[in-house]
Amino acid sequence: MRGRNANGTDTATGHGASEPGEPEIKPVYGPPTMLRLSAGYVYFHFGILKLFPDLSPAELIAGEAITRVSFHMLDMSTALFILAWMEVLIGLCFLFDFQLHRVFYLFLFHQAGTFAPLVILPELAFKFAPFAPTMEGQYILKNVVSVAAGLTVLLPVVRARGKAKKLARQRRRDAGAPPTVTPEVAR
Amino acid sequence: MSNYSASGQQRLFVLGFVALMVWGVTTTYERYRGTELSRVPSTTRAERPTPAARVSYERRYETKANDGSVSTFDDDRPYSADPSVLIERPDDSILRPLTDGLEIYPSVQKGMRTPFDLWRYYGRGVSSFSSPVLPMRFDQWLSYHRKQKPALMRDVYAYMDSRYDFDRGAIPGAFMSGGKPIMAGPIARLKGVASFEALAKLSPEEIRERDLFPYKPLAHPIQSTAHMVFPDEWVVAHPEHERIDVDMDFPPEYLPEFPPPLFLTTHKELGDVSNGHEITLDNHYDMFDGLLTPEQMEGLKELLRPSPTTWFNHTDHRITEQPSKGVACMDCHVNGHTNGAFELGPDARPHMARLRVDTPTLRGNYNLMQLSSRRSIRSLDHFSEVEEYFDGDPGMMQAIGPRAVKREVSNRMADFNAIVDYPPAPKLDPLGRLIPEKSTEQELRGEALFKGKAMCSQCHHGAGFVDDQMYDLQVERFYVGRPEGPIKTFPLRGIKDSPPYLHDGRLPTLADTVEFFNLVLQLGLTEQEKDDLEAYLLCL
Repeated sequence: MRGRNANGTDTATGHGASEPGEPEIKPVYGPPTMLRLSAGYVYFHFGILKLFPDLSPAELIAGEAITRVSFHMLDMSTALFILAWMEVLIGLCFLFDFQLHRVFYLFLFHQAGTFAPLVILPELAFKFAPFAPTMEGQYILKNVVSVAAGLTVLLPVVRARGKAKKLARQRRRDAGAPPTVTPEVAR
Repeated sequence: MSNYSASGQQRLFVLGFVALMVWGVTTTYERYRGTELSRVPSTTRAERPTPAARVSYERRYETKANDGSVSTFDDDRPYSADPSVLIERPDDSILRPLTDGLEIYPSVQKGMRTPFDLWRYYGRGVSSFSSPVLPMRFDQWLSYHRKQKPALMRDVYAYMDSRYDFDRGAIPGAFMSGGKPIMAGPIARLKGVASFEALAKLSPEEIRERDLFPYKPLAHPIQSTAHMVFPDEWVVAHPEHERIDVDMDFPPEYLPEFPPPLFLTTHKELGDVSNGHEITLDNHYDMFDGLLTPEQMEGLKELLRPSPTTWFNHTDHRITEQPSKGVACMDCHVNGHTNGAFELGPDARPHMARLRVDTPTLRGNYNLMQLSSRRSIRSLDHFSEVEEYFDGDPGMMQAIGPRAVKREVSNRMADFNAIVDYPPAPKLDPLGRLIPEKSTEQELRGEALFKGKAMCSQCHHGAGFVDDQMYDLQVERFYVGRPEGPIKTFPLRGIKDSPPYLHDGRLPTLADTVEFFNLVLQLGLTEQEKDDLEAYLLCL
């Protein structure tokens, strides 16, 4: 059963404070359940497809984009393997409402990558750039909805977490606690 | 909704959903692979029919009794005459795919880069048939390759440099028929082992396990389009064949001379009838009028006439900046020899499974009863007819422009092909044996090895030093890779003139060729013996 620990942390999701001494700051709104679940489903389903060669329709453009971004240090199968697990992980975190404040950064990284082909592979993304996309380009451009959905789910959690940390620092300063970085170390 | 969100029920529901998705996708994949849409062949073998289902073998032995009743055998009799003897089913492991350790071909479109180690991949194509349509507009196609080519070629040169040491220099005093120096070897780089002798002492399994084999296949640097890649020397002379996507990966020193001499069986007294010129559509008449029969002349003209090909043509489906008139047979088989251009063998699908093939010489084709690498084409006429350069896809010919060589014309092409002779080999007698007075001790030792310990003559014998058979060298014993299957023996007469060696050119020098066969056939040759063998090959 989910509950909260002595620090006020939601033991399942990590919402609120998780570090000792951090206060609980409730998100301004809870992650919308349907949005969270639908975003999680899309991530999980499309991610797991990429673990099976030849099953994902995005295999070509995603694999090619990553191999190019990595200057061909990653071959296509490795690139797809990494991408697939990244998407599965994000999807599971969304679905289970788990560690969303941490997955936020992975989400941003992933979404930035999904738009990369628009710049790296314009020949595949556009019939005529920038207003006439190909099917693949349209698929990528539609990700603006995913970004908006993801941010709607993640931002309140992340902001609450940020506020909690800030408040904890403030409280430590007020209590005269020693700074976390000593002058010797700083030098 | 918020109450529900906070409950454990949702977690259970989501957990069930995730499990369902995993099961669903996995099951779907198993059903999808092997279908006409999938690039992944099915590896599930159909169930063997049970003996009872085999029927009718027994029914032939139906017997009719006096009372009219029919009795049949209803047991496992096909497996044993004695029903009490249980016969074990045969081991069917030889029927299973040899795909352990291999990956499915990457998903690529025309023009995209492909792995240099394509031998590690396998799979089927979406279709056997190609399309004359680019995946993008032509101006996009150009800009795509303008961006991709410099990075690709940097990687190609780095890859080739990682496999071969191209700075070994030439063999002192060894020249091709036209005077080009012959490069010394072996130049394949060894990794994880000190010498070829140490490598040869290891078993194929150990070499494979430790990934030590230096002669893995060579892939086309951009297999998604592939097609002919011409040597730099050719492209300088024929800028219309400069590709927008890729250049030759071998340095010119390791390729045949350009232009090579041409020797005719009908005019041995004239020596090199090309006199150092490249024979072209423009000059061939002046050069050969009065020397060839009208039929041979017509054949030569056809061999020199450019025709549109899959990627060299007037349409947008091309890899030249400007529209191209196409390619002639003798653009690769320059002067009836080879300039070292490479292509893909048109003998397999999917496109990714096609092996890189170097242009073989036409010299001495009159002796061959079998042509074309793995296609086992049985006559020069047939060879001339099918070498259409539409990569084995007549549908492309329909779309891009007909070559449509008629049978009587392809016969004429074969008429000329049949008089292209080997280069002179002054040290050989009429039966292809070394003349002792003209040969060195080392060359004579090499000949003895060729016919003895090295077992070369088992396949390479007769006038052309070829047996017209196809052999499966099973080179995949030495590395994790897709088996390449049987490939025809290559004639060794005049072999010094046509580096690099093996069908895909993975053996840049004769010394590498000797090292390769020493490993693959597990001959156990000493360093001295290998040198002797190389000296002999230079005489052929």
